[in-house]
Amino acid sequence: MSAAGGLGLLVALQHGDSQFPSGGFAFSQGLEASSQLAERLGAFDFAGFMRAQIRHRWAEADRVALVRAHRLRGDLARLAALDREVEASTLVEGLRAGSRRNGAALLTTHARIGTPGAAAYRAMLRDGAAPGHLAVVQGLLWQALGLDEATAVAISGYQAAASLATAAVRLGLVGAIEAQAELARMLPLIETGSAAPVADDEPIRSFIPLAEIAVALHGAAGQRLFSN
Amino acid sequence: MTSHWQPPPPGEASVPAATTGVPAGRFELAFLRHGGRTAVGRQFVSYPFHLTRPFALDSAIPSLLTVYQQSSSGGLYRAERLACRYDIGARAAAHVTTQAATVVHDCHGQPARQTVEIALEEDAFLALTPDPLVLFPGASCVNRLEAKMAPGAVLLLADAFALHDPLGAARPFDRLASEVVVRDAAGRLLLRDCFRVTGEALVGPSSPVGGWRVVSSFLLLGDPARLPVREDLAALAPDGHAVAGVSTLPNGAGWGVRCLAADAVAARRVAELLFSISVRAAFGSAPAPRRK
Repeated sequence: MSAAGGLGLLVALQHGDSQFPSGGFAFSQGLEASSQLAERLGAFDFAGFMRAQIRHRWAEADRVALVRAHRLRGDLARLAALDREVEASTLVEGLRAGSRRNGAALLTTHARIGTPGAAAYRAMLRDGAAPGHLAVVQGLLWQALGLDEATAVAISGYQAAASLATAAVRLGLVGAIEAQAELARMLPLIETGSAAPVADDEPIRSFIPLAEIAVALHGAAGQRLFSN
Repeated sequence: MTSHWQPPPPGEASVPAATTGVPAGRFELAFLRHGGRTAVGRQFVSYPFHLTRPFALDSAIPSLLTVYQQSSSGGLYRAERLACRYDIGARAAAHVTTQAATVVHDCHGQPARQTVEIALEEDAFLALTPDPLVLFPGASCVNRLEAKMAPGAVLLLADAFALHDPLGAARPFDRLASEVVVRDAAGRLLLRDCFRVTGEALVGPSSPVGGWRVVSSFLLLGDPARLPVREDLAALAPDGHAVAGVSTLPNGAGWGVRCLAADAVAARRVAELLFSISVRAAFGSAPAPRRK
């Protein structure tokens, strides 16, 4: 944390807190459909789903986009180019739309509280100059707040796992205590995933075919709790 | 079991790095439109590839030429480098496929590398539908495909792999990496589909493919007027032996289809159906069955 000492930790806690209004509660990344379509997709296992998401989506895609965005140090034109790369690298519409909506929501909150760069990048979203994917927006904002790269990655990884745990509780797949136990088991995996080096032009990679199919089927379904 | 490279017994020296004398097979074809038909123009084919004569299999679609890409080597081997290039001229139409699946043998940590370059001119059509890679224990493969598409062009890309241990011991492949990059005529990035995965990651309840055995990805790219509509793609896997998810692609590039199948037969059924749907959308007539 480059935000000085104990203050940096407090800033990280504020922005990692699920109470921070970011809009992420509306998305399950295929968890809802995977659990409800088990007869068609195969046996559902919440811990396995979460592990696959962290290893094969967050560590290889969201984390990479976040790190690359953080390193751009508020260069909005280059952030927009990275943002377009994330758009081109996210094949399934439900995941693209969810990431854009989360990014826009987070940006709106930060524009209101005056985080440097937030209002200007939000204007670029409005003009269609950038799609506003969540990981890119996080990299922009958390760097602007003085959080270092490692801290930003830790918040991102924690939120990715915690949001799945919250979704699982809301869907009734696990209880609140069990969700926290599973979240704790996920932390070493996040730490391991965080350690892989990221080149400045590292591709955005993702390999979650089963979850992508679930998201695609989810989009065609009627009654549902989450947007993806 | 076919194995052209035997691992050393325990305690002996590991497999030496194959950095010199590695064959670099090339398969390069240019397709040109002549009147109502497509013909092969420039071609360069070197070992292990083999090209028989092209086929006009579709009487209702005389412009569509079919080529079977064959290999005389029995699969992909460690450190092998293969390069393919397809140039599809304006209004030319080609289907490039294989006769059978391609086995990727134990690569002993030195992956086989395949690259494909595709250039489609105005109103061109290419369906590149190779049969799946069959990843044997220890198999390691790095694939890269880059395509550039002019206005009006259509491109169908099929990419699939299957897990197989000839001994039935469920030994995993080593690793697979893939990158597909599609740009428009101006060089603007439309799509980048990129992954890397180890065989071990596909074992157990945290596998991102569940218990399915064949993983397929299809990209239907290009002019929306020549692509299927969503309703055409609604029932790709109706029988429970496969599941498929259809999505619009970024930047209006077309359709993406992810498919997981229980076996090669179910995967092939989906692939054939998608090929048929795509050809019908582009030409107004369904293609004849491709014999393999």
